[in-house]
This record gives sequence, structure tokens and C-alpha cells, in this order.
Amino acid sequence: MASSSSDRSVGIRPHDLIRAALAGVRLYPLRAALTVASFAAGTAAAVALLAITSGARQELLERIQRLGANLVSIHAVGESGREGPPALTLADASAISDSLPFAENVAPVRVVPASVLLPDEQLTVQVVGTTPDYFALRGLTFARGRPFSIGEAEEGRGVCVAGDATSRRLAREGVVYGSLVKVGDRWCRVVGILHREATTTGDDTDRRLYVPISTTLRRDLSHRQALGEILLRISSDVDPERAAHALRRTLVRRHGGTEHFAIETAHALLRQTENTRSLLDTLLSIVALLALGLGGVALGSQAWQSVSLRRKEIAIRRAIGARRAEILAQFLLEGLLLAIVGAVLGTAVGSAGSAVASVVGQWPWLLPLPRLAGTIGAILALGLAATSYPAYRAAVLDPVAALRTER
Amino acid sequence: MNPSRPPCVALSRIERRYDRRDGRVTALTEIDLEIARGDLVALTGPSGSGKSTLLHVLGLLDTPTSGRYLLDGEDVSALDDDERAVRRNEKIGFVFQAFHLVPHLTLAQNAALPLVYRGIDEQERSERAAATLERVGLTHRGTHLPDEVSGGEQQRAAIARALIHEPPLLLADEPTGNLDERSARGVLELVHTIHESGTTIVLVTHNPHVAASAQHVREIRGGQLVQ
Repeated sequence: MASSSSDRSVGIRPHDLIRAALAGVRLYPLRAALTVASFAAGTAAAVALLAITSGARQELLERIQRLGANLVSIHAVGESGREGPPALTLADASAISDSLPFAENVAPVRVVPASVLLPDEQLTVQVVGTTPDYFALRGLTFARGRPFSIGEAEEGRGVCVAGDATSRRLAREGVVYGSLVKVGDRWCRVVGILHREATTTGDDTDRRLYVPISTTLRRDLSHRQALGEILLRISSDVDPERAAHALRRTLVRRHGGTEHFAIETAHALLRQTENTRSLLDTLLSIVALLALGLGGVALGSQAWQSVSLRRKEIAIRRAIGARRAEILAQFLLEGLLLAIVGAVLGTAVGSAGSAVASVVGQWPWLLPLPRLAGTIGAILALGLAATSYPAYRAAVLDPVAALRTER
Repeated sequence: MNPSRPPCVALSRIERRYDRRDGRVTALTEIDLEIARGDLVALTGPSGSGKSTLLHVLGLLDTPTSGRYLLDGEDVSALDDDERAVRRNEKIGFVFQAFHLVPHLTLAQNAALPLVYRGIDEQERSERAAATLERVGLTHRGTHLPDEVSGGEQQRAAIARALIHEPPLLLADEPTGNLDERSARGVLELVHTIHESGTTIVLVTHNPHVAASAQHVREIRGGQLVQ
């Protein structure tokens, strides 16, 4: 009679297995819907996190590319009292440019508040006095016009470049590209308007007005007056750390041994930004993992309840010839179906929600497909894992005991 | 009985013991039983005598602790769980006192359930379910759910499920125990009709009237066959 076992080499067909699982899901529709909802919430959190962190990472990479790894910023810090000598001067900038061969572009930066006289009101803006190199060093691009020329900068001509927000503010008062505007006590022509800079960190270049540095300095004391920052690019064949060391030595010597400045390289700045980000990412990840964990728990408890409420059905199926693997597959599939529906809904909600939030909050948003696929795969694996123990219990249920107790 | 064919059931020295926290319980002792093909055997005995355990052993739902069980000529005493599931599907039909239909499946789907686990397609399943429901007198009840029909009709659907794959052995555990007298009589008549068509049947019952209608009556007491 050994041949008789070959009658049943097939077992349940996939189609019938899916139908059995679907029927199981439909048995308790409200509970299934709640389970799907909580699983979807976890998925939405994970997908939104993925979209936001990917967007931020992408932006950071773009910033690195735009700034270049060779950017060095020297900031004035500490007390530079009225009496004492200024921490950084235009002469320092010239000295760096002249004496350090690796310094390719050097831009002195002097930020002063100034009022702009408009027909109806006085507007206070941050006026940045600098040289044309600044725009290139900061990777700022022009929506209209051009930077002021070296000649204009040296001669202290009445020209200015407006950041995006400033230009829109001025345009409301009739000051547009090519117009004259009175900044402080000088008339300046708007020769350039910058593109809007999408930033999540860093300073607000959009709300500034750029003028040649010489116009912000009193002529007689020009070389003694304090700068806020010296921005420079070093040649790419020089190690940024060694360049920073040489810069420090030069400046300390020029300032009689005092060091009221800080030197930052682009790498260090971006590293710092990334550290801040990764802390935020970690916190968000924990929140998303918790949400997903709760979804998994909901799915697991749904499966557990389903198995306990359907002991009779399981015992009947076993008694008439279902193998353990077939019972296991039926209940795993039930859990997987709920997880799939939850994951699909959650992905839709998470990506749409984070996209809307990114538009409103002006955050970067990016949903890279391979990582999305990986995330969804992991979520479905979580769904299977959450269902696996209840499904296993269903498979190993003793049909004799269940048939005796269940009515 | 045709002597050249093996008996449908041959048990020799079957024992079933359970290990429980408060000690070892012996449910079946030294059971020797042979049931010829086409027999209708009533198994009687008081509650707790071991007749349900014996029925579960016969139905491959329970495994004897020791002894030998030949079902349809094949030694099934040492089969693993999957193999026993396959043999249940091929060779056994169960009828329970409490009907035990799957509540969310129609009577036709319930009747066809054993065929699902044989990989038989839906077309053939529904044809065979319709034919089998007709055989048990439920021609127009196939699309009903179990709780939409009477107890007698539920038991008929359960009998259809036990017959649909034409197993050599039908096991019925107090099939009339939950039914009123009229339905019980109808179900009993059906059992006899099935027997007359050649199926071997083992019927567990308390009811002396039901037992008396069988060809053979075996009584079990304290886990042992007494006659």
C-alpha cells in the first residue's frame, strides 16, 4: 500500500491557501482593520523617517559638493574690546593672500547692520561687506545680474547684491534689479540678485545685502577695522589640517601672540552638522522603531487571538488531513496579508505626509527606491515574525484536545 | 469476508499511556481488535472507559504508546505526524458528536474540505460535494452556513464530509448524541445506508438501541475490551 501516499503528494493548492487565509481575515473585520491601521501607522513613521533623513543626507552631500572640501573659515571670537586691537582685520586677509601660497581665494567678510531707506519706511538689513570672491566661495548663484567686480570692490563703488528674501522685500517698495537704493548714507545700484538658498542649517544668506567691503569701512582706518570672518579656499593638494595650522601661526604672530579667532574647515563644519543630524536621526529612528514595534505587537496579538478563537477550525482541518505545515502556512499568510495591506497604506500615508510636511516646513525630501524596498521588506519580515509564533502554536495544536473542548 | 484481503483494521497489544503531573494514566491496555472490511462495529462502554481514546487511535489522531496497528494492510503504528495526516485524509472519515463543521464555510465547502488538502481543483470539488450532499439528503442546503440549518442537517453535512473522499474506514463518535429523536433516527438510517454500500464503520455509542443495530458490539471497560 506504499503507493497510496503518492495520492497526496500535492497538498493544498496555493490558490486555496490564499482563499483560506482571506476567509480567516474576513472573520473578524473590525479587528483586522484595527491591526492594519496600527501596522500602517508604524510603516508610515518608518517611511516618513526614511524620506526625511534621505532628503537631509542628500542636501548635506550637495552642500559638500558646492562648498568643496577646501573651504576654510576664520571667525573672530572672544573679547576684542573697544580699546584692544581687532581680532581680524583686512590687513590679515591681505597678509594671508600674500604670504601663504596655498590660499587661492580670500574673501574678507564684515557684517554690519544698516538701514535701507525706502519711500515708506526704513528697513534694517544685514549688510555684508566683502569681495567678489565671496560669492564663488559660498557657492552662491545669481538669479539676475552679477557680482560686483574687483574694480568696483576696490574703489568702493555704490553697487550691491541682494539675497533672495531681501530682493523680494525691496521689490515690494519698487526697488528692483538695476534700481538705486540708499544703504546707510550711500546710494547703491542693485547689480545682482541671488538665487534662493535652500538650507536647513547655517546662516541666512537670503536676508542679506552684499556690498563691496571698502564701502563699509571708514577710509582712514580701513586696515585696522575688525572683520567678522575671513573665508578662503586652499589649493586641493594641501592637507586642510596643515593649512589650518599654518594660518593659525601666521595670525597669532600678526596679533602679538593672541588668538581671538577660530579656524574651521568645511569638513569639520559638515562633520559637525552630520553629528547633529545623526543624533536627530537616531531619535527619529527610535520613534519609528517603537511605532513599528507596536504595529508588530498588534499583528502578533491579532494572530494570537485568531488562533485561540479558531482552535476548533484548526482541529477540524488537522483531523481531515491538513498537515502542520499547511496550518502554519495558512496562519502565516493571514498575518502577511494584513501586514501587506498595512505596509501599502502606511507607505502611501508616510510618503505623502512627509512630502506635505517637507513642502510646508521647507525640508528636503527624497524617497530612494532601493532603500524604500529594503524598508518595506524589513517591515513585512517583521509582520511574518510577529505572526510566526501564533501560527506555530496553531500548527502544533493537539486536535484531540481541541475537539474535546471546543463546541 | 474475503480471506485473501487483509482486514480493514488490525490492532494487536495496543497500549496508550499518558504521563501526567500526578502520575501515569493508562487509557488503553492490551487491545487486540480486528475489524473486517464492510463491518459495522459498535463500541460501547461507560464514560472514561477509553472508547474515545480507542477511536482516536483508530483515526490516527492519537498514537499508541506501544502495540501494532495495521490499517488497510499498512502498518501505521510508527508513522510521523505528516504521514498520519496524509493517511487520515485518504483512509479515514470522522463524524463527531458535536458535528464540528467550520462555521464560516458553507455546507458544500465543509463537505469538500478533505479534497482541498488533496490539491483537487474547485470545479471537481464542487461537483463531488454536490453529489455527496445529495447522497446524505442535503441537495438544496449546499450554500447554507452551518448555523443556518438544523442539528440533524449539520450532522448530515458532517457525514458528507466524512464520505466525500470515499475512505475505507468511517469513524463516528456518538453521531446521534446531540440530536433529537427524529433527527437521530434519520442519521442512524443514513449510517446504515452507508454501511450497506460497503463502507467499514466503527460507531462509538452510549445508546443501547444504536449499539443493537450494529453487526458487532464490542464493549470497553477500564481501557480493556471485555467481550
